[in-house]
Amino acid sequence: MTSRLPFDGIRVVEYGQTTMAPYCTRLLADAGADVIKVEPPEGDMARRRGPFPGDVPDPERSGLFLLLNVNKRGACLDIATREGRKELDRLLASARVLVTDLCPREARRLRLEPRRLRRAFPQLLITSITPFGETGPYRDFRANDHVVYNMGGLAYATPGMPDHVDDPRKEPPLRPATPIAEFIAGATGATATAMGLLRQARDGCGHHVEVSAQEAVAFMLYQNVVAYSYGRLITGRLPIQMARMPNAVMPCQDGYVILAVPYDHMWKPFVALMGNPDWAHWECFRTSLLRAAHWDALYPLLLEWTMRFSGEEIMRMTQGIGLACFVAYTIDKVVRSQHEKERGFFWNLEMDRERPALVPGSPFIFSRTPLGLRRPAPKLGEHTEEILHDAAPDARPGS
Amino acid sequence: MRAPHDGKAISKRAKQATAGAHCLPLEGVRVIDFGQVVSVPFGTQLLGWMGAEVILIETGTRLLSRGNPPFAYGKESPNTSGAFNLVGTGKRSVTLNLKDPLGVAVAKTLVSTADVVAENFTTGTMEALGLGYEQLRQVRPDIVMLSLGGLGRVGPMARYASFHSGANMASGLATITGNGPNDRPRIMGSYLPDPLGGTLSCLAIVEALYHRQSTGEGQYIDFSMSDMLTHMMPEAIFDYAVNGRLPAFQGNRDRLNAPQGVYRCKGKDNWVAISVTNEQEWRGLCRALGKPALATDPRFITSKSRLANHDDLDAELGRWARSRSREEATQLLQRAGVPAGPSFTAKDLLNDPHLRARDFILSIPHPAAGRRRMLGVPWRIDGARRLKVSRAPLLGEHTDEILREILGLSAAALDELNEKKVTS
Repeated sequence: MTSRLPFDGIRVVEYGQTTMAPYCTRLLADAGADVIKVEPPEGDMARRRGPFPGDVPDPERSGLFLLLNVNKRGACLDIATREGRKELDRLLASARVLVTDLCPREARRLRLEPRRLRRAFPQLLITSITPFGETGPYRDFRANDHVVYNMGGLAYATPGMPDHVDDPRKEPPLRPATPIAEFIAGATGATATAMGLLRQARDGCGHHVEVSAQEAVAFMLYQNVVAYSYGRLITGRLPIQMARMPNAVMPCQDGYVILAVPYDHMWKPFVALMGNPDWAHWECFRTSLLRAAHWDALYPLLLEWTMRFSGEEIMRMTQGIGLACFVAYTIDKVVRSQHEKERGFFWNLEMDRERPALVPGSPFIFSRTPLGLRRPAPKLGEHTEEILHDAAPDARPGS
Repeated sequence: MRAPHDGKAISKRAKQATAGAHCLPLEGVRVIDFGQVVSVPFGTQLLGWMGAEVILIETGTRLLSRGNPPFAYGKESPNTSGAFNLVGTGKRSVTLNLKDPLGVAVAKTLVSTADVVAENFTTGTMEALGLGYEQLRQVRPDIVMLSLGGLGRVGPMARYASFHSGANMASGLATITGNGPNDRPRIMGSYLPDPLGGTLSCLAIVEALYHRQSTGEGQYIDFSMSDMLTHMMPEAIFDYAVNGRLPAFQGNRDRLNAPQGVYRCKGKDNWVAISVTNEQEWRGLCRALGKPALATDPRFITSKSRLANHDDLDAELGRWARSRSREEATQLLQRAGVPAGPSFTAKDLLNDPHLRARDFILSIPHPAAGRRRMLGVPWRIDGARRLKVSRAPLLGEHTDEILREILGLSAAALDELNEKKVTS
């Protein structure tokens, strides 16, 4: 076992707000990069979003900020001033990577356009994550997570297969209560940046990696693109043309389960598990496609069965015969899950509250380079002096 | 550099990109792909686009992706499945019977020449086949191996079977996705955990390759799609962890700013998304609606009061949007400085002038399926799409070629494997 992390010694400067660039660099920081988060005097907007412990607003205790910025150091610079800009430039000269999510308009105002920075810092890998990229008719559109989520197509696709809306006129395309589009853009940015580092280690050159959040979201539309490209079908939130049933979210005694029994070879063991009710052998339910066609009749019969059990009971029974059925875990179940405990997924932020401040760690586990919590998110300007003091060039690629 | 498999042009631009493939980040990296259906295949396809040589191991008698609809021209066959062909681009296909020890031996020998192995069978399957990490390390000590599962490979639920819907449910994401307080937990569209898991597993693989480059060490990566989704909902997790509070379904609304929603426009199932995040945008919205007086209406004077009276705002916006096309609504709102845009379908995206101008859409010919469009790499390098792309392989198309080229098998040996049904 070594204690080295993949991106040890790689200095990354982040100039970002809220989620896109901060999530990108959070992933790089977890992998060992020395991420320096540069914030303006008023701080990252995420510091004002919360949620806050006890609902008391405090820029040093905003949940969104604390989670997205662990494992980073922080400097506070007013880059609109000549002095602040000089210090940012000094930092950039010492860094391998810059990650920013300034939209093109803001980048122009702050004279931080990637093109300009490429000339000034030829060694630098510059990752810009913007709503629509740096070119094209939507370039300067006003956008945030909600708009990008819709213009990237994921909103129209949600709820998606095997789920669908009940009344298409009343139920709009749906967004989860988290900025998922910005997370997708940040994750895509981290992936592209990591690939850029691999290449930089070979040719020693800087590059501009230009991530469009709309494209990152659209890239996820695999199922819908396949359906249109191969079947001229517009799929998404509307009832599904290719449905096989049962495959649906259903109520049970203490919540909801997904009953995933879409294929014919699964039906027989499932019927046996239900105790071979007569109706399960009716001709109208013989195949998965027939079961989809007669779903209105089948649903109440299945509901009668699911309502006799808790979600955990249904999951245990169905998983016991190899069916991919799951309980809809509420957040408390996720945080307290024995499974996640054994995976070491949650890290404790040690926030000095009655309950441990458990927050998501890393979505993957490396066998040799275990990722972990090395430092909490920086207070505003916490490391400004030490960072400016030692803004020296870092180790060379691959060393 | 290996030439693209198809002599015919992919598209003018993709061809140019292919010509520049010498500077792709994963050039020289060989990936053995045991991926099934979407998640891992989606990720290895991206690795291939970025220059890796991806060898897909398929079993001719157990076809998952290739059996999934829709099929080109409605003709059901292993080579006409859109579900496969749009995650199979840039790969070469080898068919191997992994139930036969000889098939496993061939697979192992391929791994011994490779840098990366990726798989998403159910937990324990690779080990049972003799292809687990410990077994593969014997033949390739610095191999980077990624296993992707709905709940990962470690933990009491690791052996649970899971579709993408399972990851939606187990992560908690479904319980923060719903339209109003009485809704049920909802499933994200387009099998989101699969393509997102595929993309983010590329990050894990590249990190491990980077580590190997500087230390010579390979490693095993245990990737959980459920953990990935939980990772992307920090506000809900923190609020529970610190305040003990569980979230309620909030539809399209934001926790702090209002109004935010998706509103029905003219035409069939057309929608526009609108999101106001500050006072300037709020005044812009009132102007765009032709109702500047709304801005000073006491019900809407602060974001807090707008949140409290969100239903009234929804009614206003709903009426306004209903008589306009989503393009017209978008234009009026954007001109007034309000974040807004249409809720696009996949068809809209494939035809979107912005995405076309940015060269995001690929058009790839295939001998059994014809020319089909798909979405390409979601980033550009120095202003250009740089990727290496060729059509999806036919089933087993490269079996002989690869076994000859990489393992140095003779024609007689290939015939023998074929006769013994090892390569089927």
